[in-house]
Amino acid sequence: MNLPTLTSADFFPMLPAIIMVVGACILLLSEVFLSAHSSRGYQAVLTAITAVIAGVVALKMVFEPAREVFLGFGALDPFSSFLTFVVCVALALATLTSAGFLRKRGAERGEFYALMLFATAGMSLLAISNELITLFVNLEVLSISTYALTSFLRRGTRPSEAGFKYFILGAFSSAVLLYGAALLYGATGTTHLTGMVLPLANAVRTNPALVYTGALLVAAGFAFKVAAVPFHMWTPDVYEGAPTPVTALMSAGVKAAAFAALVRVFVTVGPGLDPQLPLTLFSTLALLTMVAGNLLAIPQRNVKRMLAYSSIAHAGYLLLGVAALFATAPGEAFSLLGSTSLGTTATPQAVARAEALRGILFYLLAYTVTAVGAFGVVSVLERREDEERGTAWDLERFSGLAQRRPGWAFAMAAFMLSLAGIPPTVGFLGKLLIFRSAVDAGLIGLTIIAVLSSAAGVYYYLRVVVYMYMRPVPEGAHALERNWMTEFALVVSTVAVVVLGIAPGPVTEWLVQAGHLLGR
Amino acid sequence: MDALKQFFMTAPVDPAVFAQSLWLIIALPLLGAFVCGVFGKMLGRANVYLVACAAVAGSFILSVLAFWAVSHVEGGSPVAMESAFSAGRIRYAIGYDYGTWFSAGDFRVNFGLMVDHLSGTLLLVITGVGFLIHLYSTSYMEHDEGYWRYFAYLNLFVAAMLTLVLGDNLVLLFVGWEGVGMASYLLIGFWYTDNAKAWAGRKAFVTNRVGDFAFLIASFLLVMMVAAFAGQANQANFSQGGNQGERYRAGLVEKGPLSFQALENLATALPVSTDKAPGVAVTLESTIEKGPLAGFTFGGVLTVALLLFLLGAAGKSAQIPLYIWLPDAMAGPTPVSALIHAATMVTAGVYLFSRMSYLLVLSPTAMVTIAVIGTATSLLAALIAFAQDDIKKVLAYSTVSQLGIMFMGVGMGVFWAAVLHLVTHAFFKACLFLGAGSVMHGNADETDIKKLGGLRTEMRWTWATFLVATLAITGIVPLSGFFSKDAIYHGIHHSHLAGYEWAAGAVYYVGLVIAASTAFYMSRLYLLTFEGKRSPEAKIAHAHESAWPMTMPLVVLAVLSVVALVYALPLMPGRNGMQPVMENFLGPVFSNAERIAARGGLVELDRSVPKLGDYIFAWLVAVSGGVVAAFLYLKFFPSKAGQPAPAWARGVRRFAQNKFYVDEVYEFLIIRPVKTVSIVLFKLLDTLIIDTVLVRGTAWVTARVGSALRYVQTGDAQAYAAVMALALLGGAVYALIQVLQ
Repeated sequence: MNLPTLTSADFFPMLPAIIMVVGACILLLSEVFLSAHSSRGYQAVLTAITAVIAGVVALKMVFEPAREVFLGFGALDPFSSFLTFVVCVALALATLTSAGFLRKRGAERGEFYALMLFATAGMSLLAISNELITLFVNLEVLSISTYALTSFLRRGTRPSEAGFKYFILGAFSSAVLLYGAALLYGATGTTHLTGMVLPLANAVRTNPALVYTGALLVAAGFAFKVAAVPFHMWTPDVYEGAPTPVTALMSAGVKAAAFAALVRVFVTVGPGLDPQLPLTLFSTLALLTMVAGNLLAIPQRNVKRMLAYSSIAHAGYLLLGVAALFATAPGEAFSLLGSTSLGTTATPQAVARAEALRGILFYLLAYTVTAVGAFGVVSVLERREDEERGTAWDLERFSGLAQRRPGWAFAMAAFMLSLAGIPPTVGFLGKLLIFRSAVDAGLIGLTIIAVLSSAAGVYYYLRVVVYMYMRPVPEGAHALERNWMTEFALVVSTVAVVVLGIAPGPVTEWLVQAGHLLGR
Repeated sequence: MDALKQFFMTAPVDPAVFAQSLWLIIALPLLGAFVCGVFGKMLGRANVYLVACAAVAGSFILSVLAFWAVSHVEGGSPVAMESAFSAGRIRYAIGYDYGTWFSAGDFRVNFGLMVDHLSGTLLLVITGVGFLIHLYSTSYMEHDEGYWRYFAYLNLFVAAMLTLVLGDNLVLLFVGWEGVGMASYLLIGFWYTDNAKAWAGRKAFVTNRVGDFAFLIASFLLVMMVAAFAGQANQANFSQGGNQGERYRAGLVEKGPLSFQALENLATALPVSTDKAPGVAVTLESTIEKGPLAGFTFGGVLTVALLLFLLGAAGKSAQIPLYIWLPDAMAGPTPVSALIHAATMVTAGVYLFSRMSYLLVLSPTAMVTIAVIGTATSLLAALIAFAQDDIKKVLAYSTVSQLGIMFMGVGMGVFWAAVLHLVTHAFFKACLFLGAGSVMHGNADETDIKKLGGLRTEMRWTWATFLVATLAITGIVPLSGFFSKDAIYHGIHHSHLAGYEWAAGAVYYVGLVIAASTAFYMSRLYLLTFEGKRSPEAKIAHAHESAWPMTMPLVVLAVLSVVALVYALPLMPGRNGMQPVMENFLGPVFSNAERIAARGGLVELDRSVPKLGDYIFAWLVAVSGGVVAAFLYLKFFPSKAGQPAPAWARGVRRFAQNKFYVDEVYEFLIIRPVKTVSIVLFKLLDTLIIDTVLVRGTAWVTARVGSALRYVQTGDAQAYAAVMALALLGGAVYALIQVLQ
């Protein structure tokens, strides 16, 4: 048998994922020894600590030089390391909000946290996958974990309905992605992304239909995961039905990982394709997603559903950044985050691409801290009794929150402003970076539409603030339970939203590195 | 005498070390404003008084040290600071640069503070008079509930005014400029529940905005001009030779184009024409080659910038056409009128032009415009003051008139005399305003001088100090006002502006009319208020004298109004014999302006000292005005009591009383049209097009589209999958079309 020789350096990029899997196994094992009534408060803390350790390790790896590992099946580069950091942040914050959420429902179990850790490990691995089969497997790791998490609360019809829908449609999209991958393999004879570039250039000439259909189907598979219009239909239903902390993890982590995979696939095989193809594809998706996401969010009175549509809209802005990666005629570049690590000899196109990559990463981080925080506030306000009636997330729940819990109201206001992209919050900087890289890339018209649609978004974000600060407390409002872990998560998110919005200094330092993607 | 001189020339602190703590002068009142404004209500009345007064007193002590430090002479060489722009050192100045405040591209503004003899003098006036007025206010505001707000604003004002004076660049000066404007607005409208007073505040603010806008444009012009100069100048421009050009450009990078050093070195390196300085690349006549100003000459741009600065200064210093806010500003508490609208803020324009004297002497056109504007304002205000019956209104118009005299001085190049008049005016006008406040305080807030009278016996201290200040402003020997005003007039009479030779005579003779008018209306004010019998219409039968915190500042200011005359006496040895003390003292500040003027030949500045005959003539003019007033108001009118005045006299009086209908003209020519246009625009653009069609319309359409799209979201998983499949099909069809093509 011909075993490959692997050194410890090959396993190095998997370190965050390994840490998380170990943590998950500890949680699963410990559950065996616990009775139904044992205290499980430590589980959330343990998960959060695991996430923090993994995140710190990932951050250290940002400064590692980019290289292929595992015989080319994986790629260690600053881009994937920073992305792992982002998903770890999402996991840590989501875990902390879960503790109070699950306890209120009497559903605190080690499996929940273990599933979250598995899902995040899958995201981390997806970010470093450099080969189509590996990519698919990791995508399934994270998908199946999230299917299970969605229907984790088995009481009531909504969670099971949401989980089932997610599973059916997810399976459909996985099949599409796999089919696309198969077609690409058929056209090129390899599944290695880096090895695919040259054969692809030939295949485009000899058998363009095969290549185009394959790329299209792969893109559609990812579009499902990032909830891009018109592959977004599952999002509101699933996001609404899933336990709120899981929704937070899905909207931030799953999306971030899917974006990472999408960027890696298309940037790596891009040189083999007609450059016009990804540009058209992602521009169209971005346009549809931004406009439809914002328009659909406007009539929502259900805040959780509104946040689901908002997450679609934000995927649209991110897709705008992705489209900017494939710009053929970059405009004049000016640098907000300091110079790139590319040096002065780089072509304008390479600089524009690095800027766009950094924009995407910063936006993902910004969206993560903001959205997880916002879902955290939603989770502390909802009650299980109202879920079946569908009033658990109504705007009325936010009425007069500023008088009852000024701290929560302030945090929520900060998250809403950040989602709307108003300074001095991190959301503003994120939008600024993405839009600027799009302008640099020459996508002026699309950027104008993005700005306009984000202006429309201000309406539904600020409506929440209006309810919190300008409406009286409704009669018979139920008591609000406090939970220190959730509040801690809210404090961390709020501080991150405001401080990063004012002084993004340290993050931009990492980002200078992270705009570097292997194989370009 | 020598021992005294030695004492003044040896600072108790090391000037270079002290320069680093200049920021404290601003920080103290700013901290006071913060404490009073935020914690004032908690602290209580007495503590707020203490904090506010202590902050200004501390600032005063530091200002004295600063003043001392810039007079420091060690081993025959005076204190000096490094110049960032040339190899030379700036004598009699200390300064410290706290680093970059902001920068954009090549443009940079530093947070740098500087004290020289000019700003040192103003520091003393601001903090000294400021402290006295704070002290006075503790008694004046003893019955007001908003005391903490009042002292917070007053401290804020002092901090802003100090920033204005201490800043070593135009931007920092502008920060102070805007700061004093804001504090002034807050204090004029201090009793904001009274609609008329709130309106007066707004009027002052809006009028000042017009000026500030001009100030900003002027600054932008200077930025572009400095950039053009740095690009085009050659080695010959910098007379000192060597690598001065490099040094200048390095200075621009280090301190930015709007620092006063940059402008001063620019003025030094910018000769009038190539005849005067052969080989020079840039003169006033050469055109700017690049940038938005391309095609204009340096001299032209400079003149336009200075005229815009004039408009800005006219806003702050209440000159035509923007003087209309100052009389209405009397709505604020009287100590505020004394500090802000008489002694300090309104003199900012005079300070600005004295600070930029080196630029001014390059443009006789700008100078003559300043002088003419000052003369016209001064005359108009003096005439209006004839017929005002409100004690504060008379003083307000008198302030406008006196500021006009300072502008005349600045415009005709007698900078030192203008600054001296600024100082003496601060003393006697503050004394007059505080005296007026004391009169109001003791007479149940009566301001109509027709309803006062006979206060001499009832308010001895107020009477005595008011009399001294009146004599000072009237220009009676030997009070300070006489000397400072006469120094200006003498200088005007002997100055020459190239191309405007008529100006010296014209301004001088109109100035004599103004002097006589001043004597007339001030005597009238004094006589009606203090002399004669108590008016039967008085609100209360007997006035009461004010408490010591109110009378003490009056006494100090009255004494200062007298002793300030020392500054105008020719006691110091100068180049052409003995020099007035102030001229000698401010010599280092204006020496560059004089050098540039002498080299360029556009402006001839006079250095002669008035003779005895000049003094007697000026004195006679002042006395004649006073005598006419005394005759009319002590003899003529009382004897005619009960008889109606002739129709023409009443007509003239009404015309003057209504301020020559200037407010009405403004209302008709500017405010009405602007209002009409804005109402039309509001109705048409804002309400109809923007609000109804664009805002509501878009919102309505967006909400409808969003609601319609909701129906696609059925909750049916098969439908979702179908949509995805259809989208894929669409994509495939598109791809197919692409491939087939």
